Amino acid sequence: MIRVQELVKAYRGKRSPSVDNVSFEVGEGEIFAFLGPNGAGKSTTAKILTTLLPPTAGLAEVAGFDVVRQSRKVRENIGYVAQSTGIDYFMTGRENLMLIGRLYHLSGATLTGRVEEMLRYFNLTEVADDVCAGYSGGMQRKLDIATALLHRPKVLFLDEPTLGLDAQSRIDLWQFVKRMNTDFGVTVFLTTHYLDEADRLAHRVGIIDRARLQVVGTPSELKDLLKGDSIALNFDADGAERALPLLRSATFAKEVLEEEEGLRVYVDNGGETISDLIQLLSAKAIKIKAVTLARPTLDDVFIKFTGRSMDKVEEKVKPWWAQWAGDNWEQMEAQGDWQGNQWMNADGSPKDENSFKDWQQTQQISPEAVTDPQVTAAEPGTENEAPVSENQDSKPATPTDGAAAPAPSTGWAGNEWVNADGTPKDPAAMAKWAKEMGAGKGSK
Amino acid sequence: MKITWRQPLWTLFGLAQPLIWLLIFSDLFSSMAQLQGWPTTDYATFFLPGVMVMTVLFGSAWAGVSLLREINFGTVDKMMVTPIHRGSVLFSRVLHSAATVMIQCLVLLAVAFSMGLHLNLNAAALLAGLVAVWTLGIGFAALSNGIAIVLRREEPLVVVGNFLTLPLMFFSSAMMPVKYMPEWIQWCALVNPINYAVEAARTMFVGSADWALYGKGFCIVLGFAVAAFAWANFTFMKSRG
Repeated sequence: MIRVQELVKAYRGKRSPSVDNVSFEVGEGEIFAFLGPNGAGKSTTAKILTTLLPPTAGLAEVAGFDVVRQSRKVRENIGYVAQSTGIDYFMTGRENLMLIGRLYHLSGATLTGRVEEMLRYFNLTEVADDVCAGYSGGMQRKLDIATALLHRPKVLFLDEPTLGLDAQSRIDLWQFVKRMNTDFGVTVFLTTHYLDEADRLAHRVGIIDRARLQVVGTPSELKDLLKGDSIALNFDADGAERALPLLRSATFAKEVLEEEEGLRVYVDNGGETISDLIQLLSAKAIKIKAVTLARPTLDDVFIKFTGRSMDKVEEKVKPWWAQWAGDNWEQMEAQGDWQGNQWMNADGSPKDENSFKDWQQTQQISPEAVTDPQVTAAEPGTENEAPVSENQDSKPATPTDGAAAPAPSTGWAGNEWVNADGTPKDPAAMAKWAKEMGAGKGSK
Repeated sequence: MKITWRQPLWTLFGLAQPLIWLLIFSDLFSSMAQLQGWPTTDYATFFLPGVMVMTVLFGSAWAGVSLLREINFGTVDKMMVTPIHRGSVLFSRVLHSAATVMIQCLVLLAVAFSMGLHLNLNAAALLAGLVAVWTLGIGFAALSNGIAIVLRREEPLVVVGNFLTLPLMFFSSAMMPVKYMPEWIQWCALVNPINYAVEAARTMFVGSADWALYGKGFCIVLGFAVAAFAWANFTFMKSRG
């Protein structure tokens, strides 16, 4: 129903393309979800497929027609629900439907019949003659979808269909999309940045990040790629610190991640391993506050293929002054990492000199350690340059190697940044390391 | 192709404005009709075509504002994914805008008759005059839409609209015959499409209908409208890529 080959969309004046060499196919009757953070290129792809934007390169076919050469034919066969509703607020629901129906060259009894059918289908009959400005967000979205289904399209495009809706309306809408899919046999292409939406709604999911399609598959296929369950552990007091080395050396643990709330252990078979794990920890009198066994989620898949969490991407908000930075902002952002309210180094230390001093204090670095010659690279005076370059050289899984090499590249050793000689890059860890070395076999 | 996309939503406030213009200006400049060689017996009769063109101008100059709004709302995208001809997306807007100001003109004409202005009572001539004014309205609505797409924001559009309409008004024979103007303004009037629309409408509404003068004026206005629409549609299509 949809065939896309090596699709590229590059906007003028933008350095990197918005859609970069994307290829995929969607079969008849399928619900296909494009999952990715904002600005990943989802909506741009949807707009190319709905003939609203011409592609820069590549091939795209919808319902057997080329989106460039046979765009009229494509438009006759698709329905499109954009992020912004596009219904006329000053008209009633019925008038909106009648109007769009006429634009699809429907008329007379066919038109009125279809309009009534759609109003009934979406439970809008009662409010059909009310002005749309008074509709709830969910009702507006349903009316919007109804207008896109009037002409019985073969493919329905939904661009972020549940964006801005409350939880109940979302679930309501999911059911409608599923029902539509079976009742009308319409193929659905939807974009979303909600993991649960893709998970619960779609037959197949394509994960897109930074303009590239990272992986395509059914939700369970994607999760199986991770080959493992995760066990989340919460501890009291210093439990996490003590448990970490134990778990790292345990044979059943494939990977142990430190998280804000505790530890996450990836294992092959969660159900069987969990008792071993608890035994191991209680043998050392480490008290566990809570244990959660989880099948991998699409977020785990997203992390695997893009090297970052969906949530983290979403949180990264541009500061208000980014608009003044204009085109420079992208460049600035590429050089440093803007985290919420300040520039951060890869180790989580702030780049700002004054903030860095405060940060050092919170990390409890002893004065001698800071003046140790080996740590000078990360001293306040020079940290402005040094960590930036480290940051660029050794990011784990940069966008280009996201799919090919999800494993961390050089510099990242398990849980910290390390220099070539095995010294940690993090100033605090460095200080600790230097002390240990000093105690062990004399000054290095 | 369906034109009735939108319900006409204009308010009646627009209707009152040209009437006020007509009344105020007629009184204000009434003594001008005593100038030697003034073409009509009273100023209001002379001014009626001018006020009509003025209404069209002011009414159409803001047509682009609603286009910008509908682009932001996604209404335009919704039109663009339907299998209608894409040129009609813009054309219907322009027609709608021109139709709106036409209603104002009809009301104006009715009031003018009731005021007892010395108008031409030939129906064909009146219709021809209205067609000329209407064509100008299409041209200006298209121009406004085109400028809107280039500027992409409402505020500068309003500024540009103000910047264009008033000088264009005064550089035409809407308020006074060209022959009383300073020479440089006469030159400006020569390249001002508004001037030709006023001339064409006036010869139809007032006195003896001079079809040759009308033909010339109408052709120029039509040319302007076609060019304005072609340009607006070109920028519109380009902005979508």
